[in-house]
Amino acid sequence: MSAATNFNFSVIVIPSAARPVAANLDFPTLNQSLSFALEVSSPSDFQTLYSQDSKGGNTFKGLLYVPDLDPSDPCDNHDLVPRNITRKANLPMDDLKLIAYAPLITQHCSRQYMYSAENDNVAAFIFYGVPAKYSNHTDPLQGEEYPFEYPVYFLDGAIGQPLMNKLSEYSANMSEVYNGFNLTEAGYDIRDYARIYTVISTRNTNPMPGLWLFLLVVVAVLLFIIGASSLLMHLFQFHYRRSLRRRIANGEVDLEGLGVGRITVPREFLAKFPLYVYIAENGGQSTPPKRKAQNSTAATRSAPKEEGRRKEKVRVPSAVVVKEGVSIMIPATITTERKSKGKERVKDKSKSPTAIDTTTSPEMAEVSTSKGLTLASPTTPSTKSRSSPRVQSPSTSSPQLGGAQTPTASSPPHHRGYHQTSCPICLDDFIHQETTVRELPCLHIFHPECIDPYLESQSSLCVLCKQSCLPKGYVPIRLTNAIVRRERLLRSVRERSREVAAATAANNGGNSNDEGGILWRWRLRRLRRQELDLMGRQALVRAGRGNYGERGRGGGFGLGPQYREQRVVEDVVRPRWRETMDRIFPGFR
Amino acid sequence: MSAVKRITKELAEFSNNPVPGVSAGLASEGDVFKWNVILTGPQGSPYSGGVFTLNLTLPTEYPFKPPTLNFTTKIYHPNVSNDDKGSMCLGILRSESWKPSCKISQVLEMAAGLLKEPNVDDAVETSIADEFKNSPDSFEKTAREWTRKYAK
Repeated sequence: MSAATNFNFSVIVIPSAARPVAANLDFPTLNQSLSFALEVSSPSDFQTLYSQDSKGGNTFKGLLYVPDLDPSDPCDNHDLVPRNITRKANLPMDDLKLIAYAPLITQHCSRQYMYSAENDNVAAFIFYGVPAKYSNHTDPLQGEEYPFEYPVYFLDGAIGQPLMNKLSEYSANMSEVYNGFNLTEAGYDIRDYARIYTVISTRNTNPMPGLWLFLLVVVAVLLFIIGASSLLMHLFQFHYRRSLRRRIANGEVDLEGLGVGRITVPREFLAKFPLYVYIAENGGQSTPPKRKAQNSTAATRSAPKEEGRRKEKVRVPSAVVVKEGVSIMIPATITTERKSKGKERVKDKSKSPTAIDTTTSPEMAEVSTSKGLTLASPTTPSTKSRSSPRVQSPSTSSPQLGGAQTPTASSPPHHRGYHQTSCPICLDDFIHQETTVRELPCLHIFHPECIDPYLESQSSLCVLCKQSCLPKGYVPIRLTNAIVRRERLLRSVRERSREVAAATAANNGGNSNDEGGILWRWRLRRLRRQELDLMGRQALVRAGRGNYGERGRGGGFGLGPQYREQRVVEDVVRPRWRETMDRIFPGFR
Repeated sequence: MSAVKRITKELAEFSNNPVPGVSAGLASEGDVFKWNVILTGPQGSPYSGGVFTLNLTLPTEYPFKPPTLNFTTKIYHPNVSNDDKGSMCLGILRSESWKPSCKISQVLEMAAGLLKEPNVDDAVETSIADEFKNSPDSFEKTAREWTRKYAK
């Protein structure tokens, strides 16, 4: 329920010609010296008897009038209500907002007045107290339930009766109202209406304190700022993730170098790695056992450069490969590499009948060989032309091709891959023309049953050279914001160290230790912390599955051995609030 | 169970072809993942005359993960941690440089080699490493003393 705070009575002039909108009574107020104005704001002078409005803060406006009663009604007491009082008939239009005014005589009379007012367009009802000889009660609402929609107020009699008298003075035309002569002299048309206009202001009985409202606004603003920045950061992160994905797909980013957890080789890629029957160089003669240890350790990149190798493996004819049920697709890069390495890539023509017709020219032989060997390896013309000068002169290659039964031809020095006579995982020797081996893109060979489960479930790196077996551009992991951050940071650190290196080179080794700036040190620290974080999470993930495949390359960012040890033990559990913060504001830290 | 197969193979190979100064065997029959190793101090080193026992523990993921070597005999050595674990620091035993092609016999060979010639660059006990570098006499003295005290 909203209580009235203020009653304002003033006289306004409604031009006779005007056709005002009912609700909008903004007509000029008459000069106070020529008319009348009254403000009632002291709480002791009035009461709010009834109000449906619970919010408060409204104002009720309208022209003051006394509702009509039946002329025979005893309530129509002319001692209290002058005969010339402003009635509805004295108002310019029917549809103006009104405020009813009446003395509080008896409950019956109050009812009569209120029912009468109900038919008019009233905004509020004001009763005023009358001397005791006229009245027997003070509450017009006593008894039955109040059926009306408009609010009801009560004015003290000391104010109410003079106001009633004033109201009777503003019922007639302009010349007859109080001070009418002066008013018409002042230029008001005689047909204009001067009437008492009332404004009742209310307030809520339990208004919201200003401080709370202020706090609410502050909280709302803060929430908005948080939401907006969160959205913005999410958008940025989305953009960064997309850009990183694109760069990975373009092969610009080395995933293993990022150190982002276990990356494995999907089965479909694994199936594309060549699988063939091992052929020893010396045509299946028993392998000297003393060479084993030497071979297993000499699995370095420098091995293929050796000229004096004694054993070779050769790709078996296509028939065998097909029997294995493996489609062989060798990326062009590898083929090229092999060709540049291989000096005599020639194939026994008895094993490749399709090649016979074309062996007349060495260059054609080369082409057919590559076809026969690698089954649709996508060699480009440029590759061929580059390798063709390396192909031996016709005089040397032709006899070889012809002499299919000679030992050299049956096991051509097919320079490819490394000296591997045994599987580095189970240490069993490969058996000439019997063992099926899996060749990884780095050209290391293994028993498929040894290497396949490892690549499928533990790591994407070759166990010997730690080179990735995944094709360039393949994105095997879900790119999280942490990875994006890490990649950006790593990139900036690398660029920075490159700059520093260049600068020191230019300065001829100035003071390179002082790599400048707090920012730089801060970046390094952040990188370290991130690595710890990532490692910690991985350790957690791994805890359930056994602690395997520990990260091939030691983080990609050389941080010293003691640091590497630490990460295995490190058991970082990120607090929940930080996880939440990360989710709301991705890209922080 | 390829790990068991490989370890068994290596054990057989080792017993046929033992590394000088090293004897090794299973700690208990039926568990191939735990080996007992005995190193004899090489002549000419401060450890000569000592007998050092070690535990070689192989992970279930062997050979994809490296084995670990722990001295149970106390030893004064830059590459062996001076605590209850006595863990030996060998470059090839780090998971990032470990290769499955590395065999247990090679690991033991390197361990025996470290007794003859400590590797200062790869030290776990930096104070001992410094002593070894800067005052070899005092290092040798302490090492000899410890060998006499603990490794007889």
